Amino acid sequence: MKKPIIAILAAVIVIALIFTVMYFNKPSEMENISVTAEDLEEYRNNIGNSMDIKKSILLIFNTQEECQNFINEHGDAGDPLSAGVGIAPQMEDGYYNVVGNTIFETVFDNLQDGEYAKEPIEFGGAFCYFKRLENYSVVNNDEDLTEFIRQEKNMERGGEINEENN
Amino acid sequence: MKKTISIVLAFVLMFSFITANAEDKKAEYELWVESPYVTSGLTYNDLNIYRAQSIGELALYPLSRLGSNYYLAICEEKISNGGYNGNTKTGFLYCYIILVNNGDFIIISQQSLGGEFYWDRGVAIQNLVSTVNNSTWYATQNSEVPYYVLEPQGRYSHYYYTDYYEHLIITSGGRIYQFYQNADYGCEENATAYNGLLYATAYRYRSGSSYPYYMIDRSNAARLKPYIFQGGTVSYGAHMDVKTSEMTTANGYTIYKGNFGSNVSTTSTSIISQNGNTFPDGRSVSASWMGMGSSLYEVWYTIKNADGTTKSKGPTGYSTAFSSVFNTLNLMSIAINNSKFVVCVNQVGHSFIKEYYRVAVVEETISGEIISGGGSIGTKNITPPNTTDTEPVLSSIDFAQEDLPLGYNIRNNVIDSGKLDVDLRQQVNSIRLNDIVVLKKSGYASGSHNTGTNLTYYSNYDYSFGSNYIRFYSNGQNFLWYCYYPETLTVGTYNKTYYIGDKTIYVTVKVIAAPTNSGTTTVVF
Repeated sequence: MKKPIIAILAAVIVIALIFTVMYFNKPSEMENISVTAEDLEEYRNNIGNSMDIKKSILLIFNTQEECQNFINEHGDAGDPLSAGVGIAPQMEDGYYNVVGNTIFETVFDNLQDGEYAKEPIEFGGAFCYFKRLENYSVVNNDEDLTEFIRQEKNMERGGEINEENN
Repeated sequence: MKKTISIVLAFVLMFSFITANAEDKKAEYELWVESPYVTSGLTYNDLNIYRAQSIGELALYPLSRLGSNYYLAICEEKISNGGYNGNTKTGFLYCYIILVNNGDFIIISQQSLGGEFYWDRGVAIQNLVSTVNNSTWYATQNSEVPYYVLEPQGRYSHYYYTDYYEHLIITSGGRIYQFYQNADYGCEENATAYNGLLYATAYRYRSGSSYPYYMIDRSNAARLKPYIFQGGTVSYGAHMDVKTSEMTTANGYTIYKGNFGSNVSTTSTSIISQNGNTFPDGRSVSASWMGMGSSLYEVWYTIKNADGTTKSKGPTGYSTAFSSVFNTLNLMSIAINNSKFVVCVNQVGHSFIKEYYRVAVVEETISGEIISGGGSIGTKNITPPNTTDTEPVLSSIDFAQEDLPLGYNIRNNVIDSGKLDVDLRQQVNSIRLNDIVVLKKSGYASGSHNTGTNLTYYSNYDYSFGSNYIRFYSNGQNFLWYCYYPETLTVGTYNKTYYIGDKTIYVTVKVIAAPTNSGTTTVVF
């Protein structure tokens, strides 16, 4: 008598486990949003360079001479910050995004990825070392763009309304 | 609610008001959508400074030892009743070191104070140039030099919460170091300058469950440890113990604790630009709340040309509830380059920040032809040539509206000229209304439809939908209907024609079965 009961209990537990796994593995609402090749093309056209993130490194010196010396000695360093001189602005993600800052964005646009300005950039009476790290654009990467479109479509469907930011 | 939001969001890509440019004989308008991510360099912290300046809660202290355009920016977030234990008039302070250039600035470093303070008490801030000047020692320690010490004033104390003592030290590295220490048992440290160095100074210490005082020969003493600041990390040099009775100004000690005053004065905040809502090309952006009904309000943007005329206006897709329009939160919008703007609530510390980007600039000829960019539905002027015999019932139609009548009238001059018999006018003046949908279930049902033109008085009890009537009538402006017993109507689609004055009204009435409690019914129109 006990064996059948144990067998039934085991079966119930196994079924419950299967459903639990299925429940937690089911795709989220956002993952279900389909993104077609036409979507990618349309978003590329619409976004253009509006969503670019212009990643840079800045270091600030009080004199032009200090800055020029730094450029000469460490300008092409892989990690200029490791030299431990100058004042670094706040770079929360490890870079300074110059989008919206006219002076630095202009310098950025005239450099290639990985290049640095050979002359100090004057800002507020101080002198800055400037290195362009990367121009990240969501439209250059299908995977990132797909995620971007899903996020935006999810917002359009009211997915964001649960945010506690109001 | 989500359904409403979705509907409104759908209009984001379809909705814009147009301002015609008479000189170019064309209209140009823009479409904007919300970005899932903030991609501009404008951060929450940048916005805090702009917002504090905008509402008069920004204090700027020049930090001349760092350089001529460095400032300590202190933004105060004021909460009237949101503090611990319901504290009123509570201030939270956000501190930033910024470098300012022609109204623009970059943030060098930041610290948010951990404590609550009474409103508008300010800070005590001391330039340490005359008391901490042993730069050789700091160089040998590879330490940044402490330049300023700062203590916020008016701290709220809580007799049944842990009390904290808080002060900040600004160094030659442009960093703000925060010290926020338990002060319940007198073990907190404050800053003391002596012999060219700055020391962390404590008078008591913890020993198991007790908190004895430092003593020298049965006299109270203090333990002084020189601060060492290295890239955001604090360590300490070898300590020394000194009798408190010897820690006098005459003996060279300067103790920075408890309203020690300021030798740095605030300066005008006008050095930071207020023109954040203007694009480089002279256009400008603003944001406002638009009522949606049911206490919902949505953020709308307005783009204006440099001459102040409106270029584009539309919903952003973000909405939330307020008890009334008078309780909506003030918004701030900041333009970034020419194709992006950020909207935030104009309160220091508020987390609502959204970024929008322009997806299309559409040019339209005066005849309505789209000549570039994507298309959009919006308000269109319908102006047929004078030679036509008919004219639309509405000379301007907002195609984004759901209640959208389409129709035309015979022009008066056609009748006057005898080209058309006046009796035939009614047969030609036709208006097609949106469908009327009635759910077959108990309960009063009614509706109002915009006809786009005035109607003469009309009343008709129409029994053709089942065993009870639907009354159709006009109040001189709209086409209205009601039904007391919709449950008695017969499910079906009815194409109806009503003659009101010189107008013929076409409308389709759909009586649909109500969903049962066991599921849902999908109705496709």
